[in-house]
Amino acid sequence: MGLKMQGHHHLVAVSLSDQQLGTKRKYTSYIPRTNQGKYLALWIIAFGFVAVHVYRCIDAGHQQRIQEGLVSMCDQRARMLQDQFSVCVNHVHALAVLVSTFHYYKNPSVIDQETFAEYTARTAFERPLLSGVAYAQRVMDSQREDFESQHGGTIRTMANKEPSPHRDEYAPVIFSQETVSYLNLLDMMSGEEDRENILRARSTGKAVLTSPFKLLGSHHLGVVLTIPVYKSKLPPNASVRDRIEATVGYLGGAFDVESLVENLLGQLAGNQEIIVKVYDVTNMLDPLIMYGRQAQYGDLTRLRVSPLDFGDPFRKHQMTCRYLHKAPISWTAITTAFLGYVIVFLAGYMFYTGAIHIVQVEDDFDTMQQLKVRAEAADVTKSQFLATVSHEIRTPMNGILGMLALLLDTDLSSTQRDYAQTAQACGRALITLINEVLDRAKIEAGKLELEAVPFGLRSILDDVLSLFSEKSRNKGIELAVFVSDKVPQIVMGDPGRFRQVITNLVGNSVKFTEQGHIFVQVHLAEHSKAVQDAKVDNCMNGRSNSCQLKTLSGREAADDRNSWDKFKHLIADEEFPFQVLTSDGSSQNVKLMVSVEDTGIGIPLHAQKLIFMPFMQADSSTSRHYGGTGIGLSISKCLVELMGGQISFISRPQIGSTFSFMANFKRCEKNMVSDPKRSLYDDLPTAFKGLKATVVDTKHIRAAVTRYHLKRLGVLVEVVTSIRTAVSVLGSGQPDMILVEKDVWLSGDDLSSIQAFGPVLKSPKMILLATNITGDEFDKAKASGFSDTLIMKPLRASMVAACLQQVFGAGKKVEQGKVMANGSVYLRGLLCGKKILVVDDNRVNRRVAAGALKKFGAEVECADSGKAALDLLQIPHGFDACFMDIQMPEMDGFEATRRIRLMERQANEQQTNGSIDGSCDTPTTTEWHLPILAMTADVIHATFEVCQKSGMDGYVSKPFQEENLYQAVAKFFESKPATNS
Amino acid sequence: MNPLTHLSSYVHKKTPKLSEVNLRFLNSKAKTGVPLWLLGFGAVRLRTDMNRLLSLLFHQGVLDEQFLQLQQLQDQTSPNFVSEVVTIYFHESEKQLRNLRNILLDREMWDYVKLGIHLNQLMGSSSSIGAKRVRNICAAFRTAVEQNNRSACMRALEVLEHEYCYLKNKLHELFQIEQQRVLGDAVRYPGVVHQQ
Repeated sequence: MGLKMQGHHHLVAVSLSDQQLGTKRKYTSYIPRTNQGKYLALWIIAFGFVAVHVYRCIDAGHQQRIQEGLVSMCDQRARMLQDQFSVCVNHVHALAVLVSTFHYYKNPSVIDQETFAEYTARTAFERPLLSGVAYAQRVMDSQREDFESQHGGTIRTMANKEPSPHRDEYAPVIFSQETVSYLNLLDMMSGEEDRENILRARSTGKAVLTSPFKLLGSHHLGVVLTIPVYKSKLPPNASVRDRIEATVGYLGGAFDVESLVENLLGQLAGNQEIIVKVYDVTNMLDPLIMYGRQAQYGDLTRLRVSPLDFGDPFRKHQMTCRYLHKAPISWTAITTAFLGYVIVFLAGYMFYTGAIHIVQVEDDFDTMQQLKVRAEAADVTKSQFLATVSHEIRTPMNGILGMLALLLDTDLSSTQRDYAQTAQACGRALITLINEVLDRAKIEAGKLELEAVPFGLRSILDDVLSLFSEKSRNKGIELAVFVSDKVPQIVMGDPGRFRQVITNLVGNSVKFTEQGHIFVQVHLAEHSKAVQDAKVDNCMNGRSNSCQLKTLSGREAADDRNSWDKFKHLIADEEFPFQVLTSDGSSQNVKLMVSVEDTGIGIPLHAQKLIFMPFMQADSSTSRHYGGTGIGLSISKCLVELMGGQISFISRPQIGSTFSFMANFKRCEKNMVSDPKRSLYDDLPTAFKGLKATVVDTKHIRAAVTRYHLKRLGVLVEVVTSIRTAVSVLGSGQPDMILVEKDVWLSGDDLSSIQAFGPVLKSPKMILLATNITGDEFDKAKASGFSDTLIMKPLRASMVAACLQQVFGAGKKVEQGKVMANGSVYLRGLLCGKKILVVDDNRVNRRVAAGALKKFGAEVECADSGKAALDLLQIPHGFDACFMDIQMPEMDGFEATRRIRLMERQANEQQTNGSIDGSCDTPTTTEWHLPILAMTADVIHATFEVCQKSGMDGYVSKPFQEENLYQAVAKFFESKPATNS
Repeated sequence: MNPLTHLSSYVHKKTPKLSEVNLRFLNSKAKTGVPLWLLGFGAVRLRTDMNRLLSLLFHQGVLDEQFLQLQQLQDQTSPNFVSEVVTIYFHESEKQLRNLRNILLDREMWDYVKLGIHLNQLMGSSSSIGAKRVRNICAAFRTAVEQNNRSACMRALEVLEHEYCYLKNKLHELFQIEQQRVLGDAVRYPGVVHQQ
C-alpha cells in the first residue's frame, strides 16, 4: 500500500508540474533574450563610428585654429615687411629729393661725396633694410670725358670694374654711402638688372625694384631700388619723354632681402614655428625666390600666401608661410573621443552584462515559479497523502483494535491476555498519535481555525474529568476541578480545542502522577493575577513549612501559589462581590487562567526548555516508561496561542508540575444563544436547590472543590473540619446531608454521635466521599453509618446530582457513572427503539449502515437519494435521527440537510405563530430539530465545521465503526433518555 | 511512471486454494454415497477452512476488517446479513462494471464525470463490504481518469474486473463453505433439519 501511495503521490506532482511547464511566461520582457553578444558588437561598432566622427569634428576645429594662426602670423609678417619696406622706400625718396634739391637746384652743388656719405651714414638707421644707397649721375656719352675729368676717374663697368666701353649713356655712381663705396664710378647701366631698373624708373618717375639677384659684394639675394632724380620739377602729367629728358641721375639702394627678412622675423614671436618665403611673382609662371630656401620642407599641408606691395606696381611679390613642423596631433580630440568611446563601451558592456543578468534572473524567477508551483502541488499532495494515509492507517488500526477487543473477550491465559492488552494499548497510542500528527499538520498548514460558539466551560471540564476518572481512581489520585464563580457560565470559543488542551494537560498529569492529586482550576486571568501579586510575599514566607498541608491532597506541589493561602483569597474575593474588579462587567473579552497542577514526577530541569517542542519528551526513558509521543504539548501550545494566550509551567522534579495557560474567550450574551437544543448550560437538575449540606473535610481546598460542585446544584454548603464539629452544629442548622471525606472518617472520628441524634431528628443523609475504596472499607463504611451512598471521586456536578437523586429518591435513576463503561451496550441503550433514516445512494452502504444500526436495536428506514429523504422527512415525521451520505448525485448531503433545516424552520415558525390546534398530539415545547449526522469516507475534509455550516449535527466516518458511531450518537441521545425503552 | 504498474502486483500469482483439498475430501462420497459434510462430519474442519480462507484473503489484502465488522452485524435477527449484503454488492458492482466498460468503449464520448460517479459508487460499496483491493484499484482507476489517460483506464478496468472476479470466486467459496457448515450444524440437530 505504501508503494502504491507513493506512486500516486508522485504522479500527481508530476502531472501538475507538467501543466505548469506548458504554460507560457506571463510577463513581457523588454530585454533581448538571445544574441546579447551581437547587440553588444553592434553597439561597439556604431559608437566606434560616432567616436571617429567626434574626433574629426574636434580635430577640424583644431586644424582651423592652426590655419588661422598661420594666416595671422603670415599676414602680420607680410604687413610688417611691407611697412618697413615702404618706410625705406620713402626715405630713399627723400634722399632723391635731397640730391635733386642740393645737387642740382643749388649751383654750385652743395653736396659732394663726403657730405653725402656722412649724411647717409647718419641717416642709415632710417633705412634699416638698405645695405647702402648710392647716387649715379646720368652721363651721356658726349659728356663722358668731362665727367671723367671732373671726377678724376674712368667710368667702369660693374661686372669687371674695368673702364666701361662706349655707350650712349652711362650712370656712374658719384655719391655713395660708406658701405657701398666700392660702387664709386661704377656704371650702373652696365648691370643688366640695374639698367632695366634705371630705364623703368626714369620713365615712370617712381621707385622701382629689380627682380632678386645676388647682390654685389654679398652673397645674399637682394633687390635694388632705383628712384630717378629729375633736374626740374615735373608736372604730374609729364610724359615719358619729358621724364627721360628731365632725368639727371638715379638714386639706388640695395635691399638685402634675406637679412632684412631674417631680421624682421627675429623680432617676432613664433619665429621658430614657421617657414617664411618671399617670392617675386612678376612672372607668375616662374616665381623668383627672394627669401628662404628653395627646397620644400616643413609642413607641406598648410600654406599661406600673403601678397606684398613694395610700392612698385610693375613687380609683384608675395610671402608664403608654412609651419616648420607638422601640426601636432590634437590630443584633446583623441582623448575626448577615446574617453567618450571608452565610457560608451563600458556602458554597453554594462547593458550587456545587465541584460544577461536580467535574463538569468528572469529565467531563475521562472524556474522558481515553476518550483513554487511544484512545491504547492507537493503541499497539496502532502495533505492528500496525509489524509489518505491517515485514513489508510486508521482503518486497519481500527481493525486491529477491534480484533484485539474480540480477542480479549475470549478465553485467554493471563500471559496471552497481557500480550493482547499491551497490543491494544499500543494500537490506541498509535491512533492517538496519528490524530495528533494530523492535528499538528493542520495547525502548521494554518488550516486550523477556531470556531466561536457558545459553550459551557464547566460541563467540558466535567467531561474531561470523567474521561480520566477511571485511571485516576485506579491510581488513587485525587482528581478535582474548580471553576471560579466569576467565570461566566457560557463563553464564546472553540469548545473542542479547549477540551483538547485540557485533556492533553490532564492526560499528561495523570500519566506522570502516581500519588497525590491533579487539580484543575479556572479563574479570571486578571483576578488571579491581582490576587497573586498581592499575596506573593505571603507565599514566599509560608513556603518552608506550612504549604505542606495546604494543597488538595496535602502533598507539596510545584507551584506554591496554588496553595490554600492564595486560594483562600480567591474564594474570599468571590464571597464579596463588591470587590469585583472594574473591567469584569464591561469588557467583551474574558481572559481565563487555567492551571493544571499535579504532584507527579515533574520535569527534569534540563528538559524544561524543550518541553513544548514536538516529539520531545524529558528523556527517552520517559517514553519507554510512560508511553506517548510528546507531540501533545506542542499542539496544546499552538492551540493556546491560537486562542490568544500563552502556556507556561512551573515544575520541580519529584514534586510535581503546574501547567497554566491563559486563553481569550468572548463573553456570551444570553440572547445570542440561538440553538436551544444544544445544552449549553449544565444540564443539572434543580431539585436540590435550597438543600443544606455539611462537608466534613480537613483540607480546605478539597472542601472548596466539594463546595463548588454542590453549589452548582444549588446546595448550601457549610464546611467543618471534623465530624464532631459537624455534630455540634447539627442542632442549630439541621443540614440535609453530611458529606464526609474518607480520610477524615478513617482518621478516627466515628459517626455514632450523629447516629445518636438520629432518633431525635430526621437524620441527615450520610455520604462518604472517596477517591478509591476497597471492598473491606466499603463494608465497614456501610456498617458504620454510610448506608446512604458513596460518591466516588473525581466529583462532577452531574454525578453528584445523580447520587443525590439516588439518595433522596428523587427523579429517575440515571446511572451516569456507568455510562462510559461499555460503549456497545450503551449504544444499544441509546439507539434501541429509535427510528432512524439512512440516506445513501449506494445500496451496499445503505444495507450495511442499516444492518449496523439495526444491530443496536434501532428501527431503520432507508432512502436512496436526498429527494427521497426530503419526502420522508416531511413534517410531521417520526424519525429520531438521520444519517446522511454527503456524496450523492443530484442532491448531496449538505444540500438535503439545508432543505430539511428550512422545512423545520418553517414548521417551527408555524408552530409558534399560532397553533393551538397543532399542539394537541405533539409536545408543544419541542421544536422540530432532527439530528442529522453526515456519513463520509473522507476524514480530513469532513470537519465538523463544514457539516455544521450546512446544519448537520455531527459526522461519522464510513464505513461504520462502533466507537465512532457511539461518539457521534452519544451527543444527541445522552441528554434525553430513550422514551421507548 | 505508469500509474498502473503497481497494479500488476494485484494480479495474482497462482494462489494455492487451501480449501481445495479439503473440499475434495469433504465432497468425496462416504460409503453411504452421501457427501461427508452432509453427515455432519468435518464441521470443525469446515470452520477451520473458513478461517483459513478468510485469513488468506486478509493476508492477500483482498478483504479488510470491514468484512469482519460486517460479519459481526450478522446475528439471529438477520442470519443471512453478510451474504445478503454481498449479493447486493455483486449485483450492483456488475452493473457498475458494465457501465464502466461501456463508457470506456464508447470511442466518441469520454464522459469522465460519469466514470467518476460509477467509480465512486463502486469504491463506496467496496469499502463498505471491506473489499480492500477492489477499492484500491478503484482509487488508481480514478487517478487514471483524472489524468485522462484512456489506456491506463482500460488497463485499470481489466485489473478491476480480474480482481472483482477473484473476489467473487473467493466469496462464493466462502459462502459455500459456510453453507456447508450451517447444513452440517443442522445435521447434528435433526430437529432443525426438520424445520428447514
